[in-house]
Amino acid sequence: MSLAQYNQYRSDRTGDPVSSFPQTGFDWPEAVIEQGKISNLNVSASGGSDNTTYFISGTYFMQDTYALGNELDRFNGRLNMTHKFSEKARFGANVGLAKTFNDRINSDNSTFAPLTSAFLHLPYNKPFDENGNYTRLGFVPNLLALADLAQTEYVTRRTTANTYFEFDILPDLTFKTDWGIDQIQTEETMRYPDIIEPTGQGYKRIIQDYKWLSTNTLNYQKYFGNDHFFGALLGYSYEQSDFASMTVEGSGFVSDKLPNVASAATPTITSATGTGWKLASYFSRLNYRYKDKFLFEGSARRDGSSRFGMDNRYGNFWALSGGWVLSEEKFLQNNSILDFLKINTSYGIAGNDRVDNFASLGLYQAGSLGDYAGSPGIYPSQPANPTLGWEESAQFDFTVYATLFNNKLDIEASLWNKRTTGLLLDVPIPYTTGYTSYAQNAGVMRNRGIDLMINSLNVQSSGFEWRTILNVGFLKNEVLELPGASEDSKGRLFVQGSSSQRAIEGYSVNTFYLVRYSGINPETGEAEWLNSDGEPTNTYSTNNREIIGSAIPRISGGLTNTFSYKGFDLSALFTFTQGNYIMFDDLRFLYSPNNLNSFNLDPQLLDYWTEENTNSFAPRLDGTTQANFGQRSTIHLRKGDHIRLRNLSLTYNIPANVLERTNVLRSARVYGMLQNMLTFSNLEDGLEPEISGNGSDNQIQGESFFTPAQAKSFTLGVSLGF
Amino acid sequence: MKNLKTILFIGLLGSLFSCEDLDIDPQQSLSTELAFADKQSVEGSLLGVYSLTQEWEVFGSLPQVIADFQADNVRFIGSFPTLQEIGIYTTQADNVTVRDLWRAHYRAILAANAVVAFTPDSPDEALTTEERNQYVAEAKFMRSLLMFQLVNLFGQPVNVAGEDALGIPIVTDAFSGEIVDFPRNTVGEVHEFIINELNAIVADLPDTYATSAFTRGRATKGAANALLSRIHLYRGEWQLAADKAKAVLDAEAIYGLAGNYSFWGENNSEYVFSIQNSEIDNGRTGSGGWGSYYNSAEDGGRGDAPFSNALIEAYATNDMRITALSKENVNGEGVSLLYTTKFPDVVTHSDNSPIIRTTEIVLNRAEALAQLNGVNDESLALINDLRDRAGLEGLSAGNFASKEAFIAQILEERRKELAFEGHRRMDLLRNNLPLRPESDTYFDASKPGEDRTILPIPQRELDINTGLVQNPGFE
Repeated sequence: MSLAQYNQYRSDRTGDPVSSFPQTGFDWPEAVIEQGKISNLNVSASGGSDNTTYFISGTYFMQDTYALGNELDRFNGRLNMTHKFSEKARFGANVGLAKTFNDRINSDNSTFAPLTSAFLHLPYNKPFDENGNYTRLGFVPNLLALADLAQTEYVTRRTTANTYFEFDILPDLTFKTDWGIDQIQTEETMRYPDIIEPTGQGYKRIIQDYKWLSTNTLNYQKYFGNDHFFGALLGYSYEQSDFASMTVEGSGFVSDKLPNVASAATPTITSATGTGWKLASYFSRLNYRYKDKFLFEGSARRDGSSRFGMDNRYGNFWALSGGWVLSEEKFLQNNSILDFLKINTSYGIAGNDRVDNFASLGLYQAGSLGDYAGSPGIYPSQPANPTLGWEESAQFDFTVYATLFNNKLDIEASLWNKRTTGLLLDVPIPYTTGYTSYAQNAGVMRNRGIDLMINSLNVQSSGFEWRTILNVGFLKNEVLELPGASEDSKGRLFVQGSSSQRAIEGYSVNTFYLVRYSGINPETGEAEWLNSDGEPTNTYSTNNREIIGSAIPRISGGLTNTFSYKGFDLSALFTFTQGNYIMFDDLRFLYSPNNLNSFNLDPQLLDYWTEENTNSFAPRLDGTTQANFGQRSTIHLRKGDHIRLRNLSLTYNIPANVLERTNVLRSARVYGMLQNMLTFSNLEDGLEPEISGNGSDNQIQGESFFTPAQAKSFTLGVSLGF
Repeated sequence: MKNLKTILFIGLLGSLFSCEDLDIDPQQSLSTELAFADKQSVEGSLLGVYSLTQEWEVFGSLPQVIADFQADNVRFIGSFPTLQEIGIYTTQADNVTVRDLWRAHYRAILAANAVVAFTPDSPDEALTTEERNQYVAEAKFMRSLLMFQLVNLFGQPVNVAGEDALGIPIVTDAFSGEIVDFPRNTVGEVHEFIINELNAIVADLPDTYATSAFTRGRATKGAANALLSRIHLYRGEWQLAADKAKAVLDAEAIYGLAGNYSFWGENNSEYVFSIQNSEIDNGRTGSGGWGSYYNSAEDGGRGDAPFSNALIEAYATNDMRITALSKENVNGEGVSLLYTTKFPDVVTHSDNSPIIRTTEIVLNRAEALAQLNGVNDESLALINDLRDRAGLEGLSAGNFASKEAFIAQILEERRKELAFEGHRRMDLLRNNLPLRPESDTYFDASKPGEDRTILPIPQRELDINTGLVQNPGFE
């Protein structure tokens, strides 16, 4: 709401005249949304001699996003080289260096995030007092002061490197050993001034994530005669990650000009922690090919993960596949339509160890949550689950590849079914156990789908070309079994993910389970929800929650059309998603009448029921449902269906004959690009369908809390090759 | 060169066949066996129980601020929807703050149960039987205190709904790995359990500890008797309430009223039991804490919990309990609000959580004796001590026309002394008084016995524990 709207609403609610409220305010959303900009510079070179090749590149990327106080700088460098010692021995090394400098005030679920707080600030909160000094605003902070005075840096330095050595023991038998490291150092520095945190607060955290990986293989490849190809691979790999973090925090600074925690009067956090994991794998693979017409492959592996209990540490996995290139058969030779046709089918079992590092152990944790009155203490932090083991997925695939009409049409279609057993879920347990949840091999889940890729050259004539690429995936997710899980009132087994969704047997793993909002009764002016029989009721009750739908899209994909004419390329990429729901938790704040005087509100609340306005958004002000109107229900849920013009670009390639005259340039192109310019959906303005909340937690998907909209951007670029 | 390659190759082959070791020990944690392996770790496990109650949701201000704003001491102007709905009597079963409150209490109760279960069998012979008994007694004191706070929040008071009203699950065993659907015990059963347990452990508890932080911050004979006094008072067992209060006050070397209001923030005779907090170890979260609720936004707090007008009006203008313990703030809108200064550390949140103060025990005895004997000299003397400290004139028997008027006066003194410490809600309900004054919008909903004067069993627990039953009105 604007200040005028807010004052009007307040006056309607309280009965006090509008004139009794502050008449001046501040437009927070306007102040935190700026014009962003992006620069990107990329240089690369490659070359070498008979025995040695190299590739070097450097990238600089700068992004000043449209949210106040958020900037990103990234430098990347890469060196790849190979060297032949002799005909039998080869050596190679790849080194990548990256530094990312991110000046960011928090994003998403934080009142320090500009695009969250701008919508929560009461419209009469002002960033400056009469004398032009910053004001202290409390829980929802003064964003302008934060952007101007606070230090909020997040620097990541990453080194990835690997070297390998290959040696032909016999002409057909090669040994390869590959050693790699991936080292990430993250340094987070925050310094809040007195106006944001009284007396000032400083914070620094350094995280070292050091991984190394070694892979050793023996590879045998040989043709027997002209028709029989045989390949075999034996290998061992070992991967280890060590993670350490150090955090210091302090408060009480003489001046905002002292940036370091060392200047703080009181150290509030001094912490150093470490953790790690190890993964060891033995693997083998056999290939056989007959006349490039029949292809067979079989593989087996044994993986051991430090994350599981002693008895279930190792898992055995395998896969088989077979392919038939039908177009090589006589009956399809010299076919004018078909250029290539292959069918392939495979079945295999793979493992997954994505649980916390010590998920199987019963633990007592040390630290300030255990310490008391200056003495060290410990507290129970995790229940033991010694049987925790690998999650296994058995997947069947059937794929058809076809090329038709003189290579003008490529089609790849695959049908797949994946059955996951021993599903690793964080299963909530009653709090009367003293714990919240524990990792369990909790059930069986099935994903199945069809993936389709079509690449078509629609028109090709004298300098004009029109090409279409379509990718589309259809997916159905269903939880088949949840043995031992909790049972709902209708006898369905479930594992809760969040207050809005749960995995339910017979339904999706991310099923929204909510009270259904039905609307405002035009007769009574009261809000109505549906009870379990589907009848409208004035009583909000969580007992009336029902299965609404899934957070997982049924259909998703992209469509690219490219038109080329005389060096000009016009390309448009649309992406689309269908069949998913999104819970906008932010609407629970903005739609709640109870938040009057606490937060800014959605202007639709002004559309409340009166005798004259019976078709309204919100209930009557004196109604009994006014207080419950903001309760979690489908009023905050939306369908995520949308089509977005992700990228529209126009490129001009400078013709070769022009470049030749320069004697320097090998290639040159200029381009202009528009991103995210159009979105077609039923969502109201300001609600973003592509959300990031809870990104990696597979038990909570499709929930948003003030996820900022994807930036609409316009880019101009030049690319030169020398 | 050729040799070098061979050596390199053999070296790499060697590493290929080396055996891997997939054992890693966690670095910040101990296995459960190690947590009771020796005296130091047993004591650490015990201190962990106290530490878990520092949390925001336990004794870190949340239940206490709810008790003051659901009643008539605090005008809650905070922005948390989950707290707002408690304040306007529309609490829902899926309220996440209520859920977390339940969770944090049982987490600490189960930590206490583990100390009770595993301490007697700790293999360390340096641990004497006396020490083992004391540690177990301390853990039992803590779980009694926690269960009492829970049953007051989730069950109707005995005076309203009787002994058979639904209370909370009594859980006394350490978690074995087996998930038990604990049903709710009745309020009467919970009270009986706590009273029996406290009476049984008093003998094993010390009078004091080596440091004042432990004497005020760990379980003592005084603390156990004080808690017994409070429970008996809540149950209307006046003689027992008076006796247990006397047992505390008789330890004059340890407990006594402070001479003025500068006692706040120190470990002194004014405190029978307070959870110890420090700059580096406290229960404050981004969501709240003593300092953040009770200090204005301009001072760096959330400013959620200023004095209600009713509370301001309750004090005489020269009452030092308001003049010496409050601070006026004019907010951005130009509105003047009054905040308590009992929890001044809004920066590092080191204020202790006052759980049982000597003042409360004085008031317990005064009230219990008044219930037994009507207007009486000892009760008068006790409240006159408090009035004297507040800079007010003493009262005499002639001021009171009836026993009821006398008790009302004691309750009024209690309100003014213990405001913002989480007592007000139960003090009203146990006396069959509505939580809000008649002029309040929510007066009807705030009457004793009304559904939303207590909290709902968290929906999350009902969903996964079929043994639980919801409170009426929340289904």
